[in-house]
This record gives sequence, C-alpha cells and structure tokens, in this order.
Amino acid sequence: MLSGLAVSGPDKRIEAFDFTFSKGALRETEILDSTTSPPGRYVLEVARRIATAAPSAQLIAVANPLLPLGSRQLIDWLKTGLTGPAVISGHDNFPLCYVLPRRCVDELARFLTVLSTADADIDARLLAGILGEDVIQTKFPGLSIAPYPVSTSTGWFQGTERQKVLKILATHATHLVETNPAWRTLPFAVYHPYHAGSIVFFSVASRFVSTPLFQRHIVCSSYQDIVAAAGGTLVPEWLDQPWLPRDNSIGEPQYFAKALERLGPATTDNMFISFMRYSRISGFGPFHMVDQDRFSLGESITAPDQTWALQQRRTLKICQQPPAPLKVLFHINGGVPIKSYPDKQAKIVFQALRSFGVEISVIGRSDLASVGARPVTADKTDLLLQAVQDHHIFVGLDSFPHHFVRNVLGWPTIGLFGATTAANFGGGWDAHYRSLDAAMPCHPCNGDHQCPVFKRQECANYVPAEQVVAAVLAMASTVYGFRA
Amino acid sequence: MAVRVLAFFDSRYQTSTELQALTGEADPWRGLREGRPLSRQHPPLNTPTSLGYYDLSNADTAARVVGLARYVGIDGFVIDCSWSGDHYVTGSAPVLPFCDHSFTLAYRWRNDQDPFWQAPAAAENRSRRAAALIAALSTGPATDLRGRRLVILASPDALHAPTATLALLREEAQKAGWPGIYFAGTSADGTARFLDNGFDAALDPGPADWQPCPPENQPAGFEFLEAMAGLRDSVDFFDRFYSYGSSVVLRMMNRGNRGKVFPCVFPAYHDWLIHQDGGATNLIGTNTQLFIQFLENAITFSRERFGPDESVVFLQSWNGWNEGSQIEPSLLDGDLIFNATRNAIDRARYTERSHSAAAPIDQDLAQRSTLLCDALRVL
Repeated sequence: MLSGLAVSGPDKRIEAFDFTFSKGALRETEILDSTTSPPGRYVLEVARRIATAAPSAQLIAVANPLLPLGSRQLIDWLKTGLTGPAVISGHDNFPLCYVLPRRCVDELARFLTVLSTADADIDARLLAGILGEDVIQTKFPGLSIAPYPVSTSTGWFQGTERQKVLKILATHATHLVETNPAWRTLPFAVYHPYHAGSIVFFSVASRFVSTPLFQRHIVCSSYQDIVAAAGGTLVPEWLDQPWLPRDNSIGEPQYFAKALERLGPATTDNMFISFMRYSRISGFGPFHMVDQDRFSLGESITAPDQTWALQQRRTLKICQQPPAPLKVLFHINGGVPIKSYPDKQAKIVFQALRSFGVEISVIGRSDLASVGARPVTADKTDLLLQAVQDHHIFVGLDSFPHHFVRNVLGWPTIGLFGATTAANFGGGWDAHYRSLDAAMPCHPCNGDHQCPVFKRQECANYVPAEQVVAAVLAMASTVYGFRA
Repeated sequence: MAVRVLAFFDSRYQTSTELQALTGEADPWRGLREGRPLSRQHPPLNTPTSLGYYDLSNADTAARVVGLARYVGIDGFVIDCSWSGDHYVTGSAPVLPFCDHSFTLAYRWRNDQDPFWQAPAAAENRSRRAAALIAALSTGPATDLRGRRLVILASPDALHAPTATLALLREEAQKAGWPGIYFAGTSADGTARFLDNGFDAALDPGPADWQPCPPENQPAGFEFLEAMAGLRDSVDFFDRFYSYGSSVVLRMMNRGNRGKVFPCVFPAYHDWLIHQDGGATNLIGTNTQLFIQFLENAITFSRERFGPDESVVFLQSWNGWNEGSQIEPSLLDGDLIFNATRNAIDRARYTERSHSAAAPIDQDLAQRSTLLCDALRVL
C-alpha cells in the first residue's frame, strides 16, 4: 500500500490518494513494483503522483511506503495537524508519515530518495536541512512498529541490518547538507555494486531514463568491462572490492560497511548515496529488471507502453557466418544444481541437434565433450564476446552470459528459466529471443539450493529437451534460414 | 487474441421455480448457511460478504456479480446445462443482460446427469433431444474458440455413442444457425485420449474428479477399526485429503505430454458439505501465492501451447461456495482471493503482451523434435 494526502487552499482541503504496487496493468492508482528502489524512491513517487493529481496542493503527506497504511488512517492521524513540514512517527521513532511542502517534489525531489524511512529523528533532521526550516516531529505514544518484519505482505524485505544501511545513508546525507555549503550541487550516486547480470540491467536501464535523478554508479571495479560494453550513462565510481560472495558467507549490510570504508571520505564526502540493492522481492511484480531499474533511477513509468519490455528498441545483431553448419553456444551451468539445466536433458538436446548437423559448444563443461559438445572458456567478457560471435545462437540460463549476450550484444538468444521468471530477467521477446519454462505453479520459487516442493537438487520447471531443440531449430530457421 | 479466462458459475443462486424443481431446494443458500463441519479436519465453510446471500433474480444483484467478475479480469462464465425431466435448464437468464462480446457465456452440458444419452435411442428421439439441447445452449453472447461456439461436456465417457452424438449435435447446431461447435470434454484422467471421437480439446477435471498425487491420509485397517469403534475421527478413513501444493504443481508437471488439455485452476477446494456421508475431497494447506502462480502460469502455458484463437484457462470457480473454491469476496478471506485472481490475471496479461512478439513454434517441428528426443531417451 502506498498512500498520501494533498492539502490545498486556505481552508486546507484534504484529498486522499491510495496506490498499490502494480501487477502489470499500471492503472492510474498503481505504481511500478521495483526491487531495486529504496523506500525513499516510493516516497518521492507517491508525492509526485499526488502533486500531479492535485496541482494546487501546498502540502503533501506521504505514508511510509514500508508500512501497510491507507489514506483513511492518515486522515485520522493528520486531520488537525497539517500546518507545515512534519515527520509523524510511532513512539519507537519509526516514521509513519512525512508531511512535505510542494517544493520537495518540484526542486528537491532527489533528496527524498535518501530518506531512511526507518528513523524519524534522522529523517526530520535531513528534511530540515534541505528545506531550511523547522520540521515538526510528532510521536504517537501508543504505536510501536519495531521489530519490523524481515519480509512483508506488500513485498518488502528489510530486517534491522538492512534498515541500518538506510539510516547510515540518510545520516550521511544530513551530514553533507549541514557541513558542505555546496551540497545542492553534489552528485547523487546509486549503490548497486554487483552482480554481473544486475550490472548489465542497471547499465542498460540508465540509457532509458528521461528524468534522471542520479549521476554516479558505485560498482565493483571487476565489472569495468561490462560497464564499458553496456554503455550506461552513469559515471562509474569504482569500488575496489571483490563482489559479494553468493554463498551468504558475508551479509549485504556488512559488505556495505566495508564498501564505504574502501571508497573513503574523498569519495563519500562528495556525493549523496542511495542504496539500490534489492529491497523488495524481485518476483512480486511482472516487470523486467531493466524497467525496475529505470524506475529506481527516476523514471515514473505510468503505463504499460512505457515499459522497456514492451518496446522494440534493442540492438539486434546476428552471426555473419553462413547458416550451415549451424553453431549453437550453450551455457547450462548455474553454479548449483537447482540453477543448472539438468545434465540428462542437456545430453539429449546436444545429441538431437547434432543429428541435424548442428555444431554444439558449451561454456565451462569439458565433461560434456563425450556427447559431442565442444568445451568453451568464457570466464572473461572478451572471451564470451569472442565465443558468441563464433556461433549463430546462444542458449543460456538466467545468468550473466545470457543477460550480456541478449541485452548488450543483441545476439539471437534462447533463455532457459527454472526457479526464476523470464518476465523479470528475460531478454525482450521478438524473433531473436525466446524464453522457455514449464509454467509450473511453483514458478518462480527463487530457490537457491534445492527444490522447495520436491526437495530435489534439480528444478522441475526447466523444459524438456524437445522444447529446447524445437526452439533452436525454429529460431535458426527464422533468423538464418537454416533448414533442419 | 489474449488467453481467455472463463470461470465456472453456479446459476442456482436465484429464485427460479425451474431451478428449484431441478435441485429440489427452495433456498439455494440453505446448505451453506446451515452446514457445520463434521470434523475438525474439515476446512471451515466460508460465507459471502460484499455480495451477501444474493438472489440473481434481482437485476441489480446480477449486474454487481458480473461487474465484479469483469473487474477481476475474467472474460466470461461457464454455466451448467442440465436436463430437468422435460427440458434443458441453464439458469443463465439473470446474467444475460450484462454479458456482451467482452464478457461471454459458455455452457457445460451435464451429460453425466442425462441418462438419455447414456443408452441407445431411436434416431428421431435423439434428433428431438439434440435440438432441445442446442436451443438451451443458444442463449447469450457465446464464447467462440476458432470461430465456433464452445460447448463443454461434463463426462465424455458417459456418452453411449460419442462420435455419433457429437455429429448429431453439430448437425442441429448448423440448423440453428450456429457457426459451428467447439467441443471440449472434461477429461476424467487429465489426458486428451478421447479427441478421436470428434472432440476439439479436453479440459482438466476439477479436484474431486482427478488428483495427480496420492492422498495425504491413507489409514490402514487398524485405523479403520478404530474409526468404526468411535475411537478415531472417521473422516480419516472416509474422506480424501490432498496437499494443495502437490496437487497443483503435479497438475502442471510435464503437461505438454498430456495432449490438448486446457488447464483448470482453483484457489481451494473442499466438498465435505455435499458429501456428508463421506467421500469428500479436501485440499489442505491452500496458499494464495501458489494460487496466483498457478493461474498466471496456466495462462502462460495456454498461450504458448494452443493457437491464439483457442487459448483458454478455466477457473473453478466464481461462486462455488459449497466446495470452497469461490473467487467472490468472503467472510474468512475478505477480498484476498478476489484480489489474488485479479493480480494473477494482470500479471499474465502484461507478460502476454511482452511475449507476443515471439513467433509460435511450428507444430510439425515440435512433433519431430519430440519424436527424436523420445528415441534418444530410449536409446
């Protein structure tokens, strides 16, 4: 739930607004669901929507997006106290609602993205700093939010540690506003340093933002080649730190603390930073990650036709080699069995395609040479690029090679989806792209290590071999005129 | 054309003498109002809230019912057509004024309750009876699949001479000016094995008629004796309890191998109210998120598997209160299932638009690939 109030005219007339996280229709009362957006981005978006709908509003009250709050509740709380900027909180200091003057939306919009939404004192001080006027703080003695749940019915996953990150960045922003006279001109950076596939999406997204709020991108220096190839518009702020291991041995907040230390004051004292690692459950909305990242970066996206996923503006390139022999490059190893395309099926795919004269290569799987799949090394971006250019079609999992090959290189690609969904991580559907999954009701489970339904190591949602074979041959026919 | 979502609709909730005669019940809500669980294991009965214990005979009420179904994104209702003893009855009249090309009607012929068609009969009688059936099915804006009017058979296996019966119905439909009939048969085992008889497609049976997984409760003989001696809850023995999760996941597993069978999706199911003496099917551990994914993925499956003008998913049900499968807002669930249905349809329609640019795979190529891979598996 995302709600707010507009206060207009001398009689302080109140209009109520209730929005929901969109499931795809993007109706007038719906806001795009973005996993990379911090709660502050939603404060801004709700305020924007209200300002548009109520052009004469002088004050705009926005409920904390982290909370299941409707406008009716806000009216009950605020009907007598809407006089100026304010932060309303529970007695545990958890913010319930922000009352913002209109210029917060018009001139100071980007500062709302760094509100902690978890500490009313910090946020009130930040707002006072950017507004240059007193901000009233009101606490409701009978209401306490803590402990905030780790995940919520509206799709947030937060936890105390993650909210500490938001508090640190809001405090950092307050410090900049209070100590740096040139704070209004400082750039805004997004903290989204890893992983490779996410960097591809983020970089692509930055090219399709008409009203950017951010100028810099804090990103691991090991991804320099990806950032360069993806042609993002944000200036990279290189973080010399290995990317976060995927085995949960280091928590995201701990990594963040080290990252701030590694960036050092010379960097952090000269920019505002917004946390844009995943804050919401990524499969909650049907929107592609590029659209979710575009929203995070400032694009409102108020209609389905505005989504990147529904627009045809992708790079399309094809292999320049003759169509026969057809060469297909596979990436089927997701690191853990649940993320990998099952070997048994893969072997049948390879044998079947070879019977049509197709030459098969597979990334990082020398053990499949026995079924005629030529092993290829592609652990560096330039090696992947070289390997792709030698093949007509790429077939890959929901993983970096897939995202890079499709979204950056624009190569004919088939995506295999198991525990995650193509709607979020696919490649934009046209004659050069197809995603395959078995449409099971458990999909997406986002399982990491084993199937939560059958408790097996393999994902049952991967399609059987025949569908992969048919998809490869169909694409080869459409794109290259190959006849099996 | 987008995948159509059709919801089974119980038209008995109206003051209609012919329906009352058919069901032998003056108050269609009585069972729900008076029903009490026979065991603590029976999921509680749910009762309507925002629409109340409605009477479809009231035009305003019927308008609200259809309006809510449209709001959710449902494209039409499927209404049962039953033999009353001297004519066929659907009870669809109250909702007809609120249906049009964007919200259509289809009928499920309850041939399982129509003994005439389960035995040989004189040709003249068969023609007369077929004409009566077609007349009853002719009301309302029709759901067309491949340009033909969709008619669902509740039990293809119950037909005495299926091929001849379908041919006869097609003939009568032609006389009545129909553009043709698209026959979909409810498959007793989830497969499309009877398509050779003239059916165009099959559809999944409901949870009571087919389960792809074994029941959770499989009591042994000793437990049966305990139940008989009153020492144990007897529903353990007489009812079947299935895990909702396993049931819905297995319904969609390897689905492509089952032939042309339309998915039937349900948010919950427990029919102990209509099986008071045992034999009820009860799904336990229902899960709203799983239901959303069930519906969304079923729509995806239908879009990718069937032609654009015959992609359909069935939803059981809009108002199956007696079996706990209703989408309408309820006392226990509020608008949780109602909104979940809307969310799932919204999600599926959005991804449908984004996927629409990918060309369908040629069926001949798909078939060749299947044969080849099957051969390789054997080898």
